[in-house]
Amino acid sequence: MKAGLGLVLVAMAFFLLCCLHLSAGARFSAPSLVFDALFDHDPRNYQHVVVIKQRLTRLVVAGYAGAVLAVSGLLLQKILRNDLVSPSTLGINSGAVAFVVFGIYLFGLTGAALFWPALLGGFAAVAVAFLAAGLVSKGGRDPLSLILGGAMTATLFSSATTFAISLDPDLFGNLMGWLVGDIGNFDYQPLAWLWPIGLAGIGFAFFLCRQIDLLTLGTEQAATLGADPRLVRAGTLALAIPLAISAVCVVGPIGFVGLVAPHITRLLIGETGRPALAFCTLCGAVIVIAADIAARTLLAPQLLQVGTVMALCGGIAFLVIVVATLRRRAA
Amino acid sequence: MRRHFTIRLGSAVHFPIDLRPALVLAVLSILLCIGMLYALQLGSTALSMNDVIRWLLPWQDADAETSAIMLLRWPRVTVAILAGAMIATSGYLLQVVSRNGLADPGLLGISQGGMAAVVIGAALFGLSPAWLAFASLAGGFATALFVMALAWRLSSATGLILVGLAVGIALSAAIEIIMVRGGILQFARWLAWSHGSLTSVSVGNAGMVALWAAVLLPLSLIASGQMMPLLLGHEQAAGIGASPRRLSLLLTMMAAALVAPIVAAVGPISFLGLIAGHIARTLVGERPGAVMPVAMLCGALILLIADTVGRTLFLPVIVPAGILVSIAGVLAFLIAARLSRSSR
Repeated sequence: MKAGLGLVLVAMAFFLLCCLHLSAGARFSAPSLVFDALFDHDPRNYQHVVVIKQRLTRLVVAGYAGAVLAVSGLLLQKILRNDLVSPSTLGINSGAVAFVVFGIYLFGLTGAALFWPALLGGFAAVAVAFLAAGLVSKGGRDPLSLILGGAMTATLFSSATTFAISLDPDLFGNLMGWLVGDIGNFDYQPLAWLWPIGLAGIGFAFFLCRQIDLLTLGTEQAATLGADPRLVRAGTLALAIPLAISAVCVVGPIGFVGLVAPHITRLLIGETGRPALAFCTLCGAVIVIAADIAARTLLAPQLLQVGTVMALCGGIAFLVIVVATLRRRAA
Repeated sequence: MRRHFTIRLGSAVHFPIDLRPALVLAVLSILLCIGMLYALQLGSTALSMNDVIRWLLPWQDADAETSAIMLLRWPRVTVAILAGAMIATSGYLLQVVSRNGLADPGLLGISQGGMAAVVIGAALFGLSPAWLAFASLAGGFATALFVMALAWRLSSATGLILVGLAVGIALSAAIEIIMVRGGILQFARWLAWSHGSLTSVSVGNAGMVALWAAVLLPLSLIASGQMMPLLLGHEQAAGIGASPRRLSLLLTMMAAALVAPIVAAVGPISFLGLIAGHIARTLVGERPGAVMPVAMLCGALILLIADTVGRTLFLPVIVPAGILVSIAGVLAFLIAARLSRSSR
């Protein structure tokens, strides 16, 4: 598929899903009502308030989280040249959650201050995952062992999280949705000061796109073509981790967008170039918005957690990708 | 030093016994007995060792207070020992079948399959606790078959683990959807169970686990004598007349059956099978007949220590044993791998 056509298609899908997201819910709102709520807002009309305060805010949060996680996943997959890595399979999500939970328990941190423990947790998780992978593969560079290292990291940190929660369950009563990954009605508040991180991160990703593409050719090739592999790799890691963390701080550990969106991108228009990056950004947003619609309507009026819906679909997608990768290697 | 010791009965019957495994087994058994005494003695109410020993000896009458406390402690200690042994056995069986030292019922998705069946059975159909073990068995079997079928034709040894990991992730998400409906207290309890906790073990649980253990542990010991050919790989095993496919299917089913009652009673305990298998192989080498009993004792000892430490060291906080095993186990595994690499 041509990159331009792909971009147009995914943009259309994005737009359609946005409209669907605003009108779908426990009670369906007609498109005309949504239109009125957006452009001719009446603060005393309850349905207008629902559309703006409960659906538009969720839409923005879902779109942001999806876009940021997808870009983070694409960057990680490109620089590590391993199409099984993503923020969740490397354990970044679990690491961030563990550090946040301990930050709350030990120091009583709230709000904006939680970004820093989360960031620290993300970097710690990546370090542990690399260490574990190196030990599991005994110095070899098997891409599968990085995933195994990530899984061990995730188990380690989620055990720590469970331990902290079992110390004082009541303290974390309000956080249950966040712990499994969910979009709540007040999630736009942390987003209000976190969005610059996401914007700057995606901007840098576009800026560095050429260098990162060179790295996908392999370290030697990239060095011959004038990129400094170490610098680019470190810079991209320093970009991808805060991007993922900024999403985790808002919605909690929503996994697998970062794994699936780059795969869709690669399947449809290839992974190199800025159009692919733009495609991946929109694709991630589309996936999380779709998951949010599913979470709100499947068992309406009960809400499901977006994180669990994503984990279920994403786990199955991960299985398919793993089996496909292994078949290709075996063949 | 002689490596073998032979017991001779008359002139025709000889039992050659490997000295090293026998020695390791003896030391581990003694450690386990000491650990059991301390596990019974320690707790929020300290007892004197004299009382514990008097309670244990059938011809002595223990006082009523000790008996009351023991009624709470002995099921827990029993389950810790049996569960540790069964999980370690299951892990070792899977390691032999997949010819991969990293196999573990928690990593291959078998525990999660059992958990999913338990959660669905208990939450949606209101199964009574007695049937939960069978639900868990069915779930574990189904998952094991599914994972094996998917990974059957993949040559990579890590492949089986990754497929199991992915299946486990999808199953945990399904469990989570059911479990987040009850508020944070239930969620916290579920989190503890999903890592494995012996807090709510009752006399009934202990009986159930003991029944399964009495059948399955001797069976696995018998099977360990037949497992040697599998270590050679499928072609070679078939070449010397073993039937590797049937045998490995049978052993996988046995591994699933071994974790089923544990998942129902205490939840999965990830990494225990992996760690116990590693320690056992470091201690006595590769022969399944020797590794299997050592792995059992190691698993029992590790879980007993983890549970006892978890409920006594951080009082009044009680740390679920599964969490201690995962954290300490992963860290220990990393350090051990690091040391063994630098020593080479």
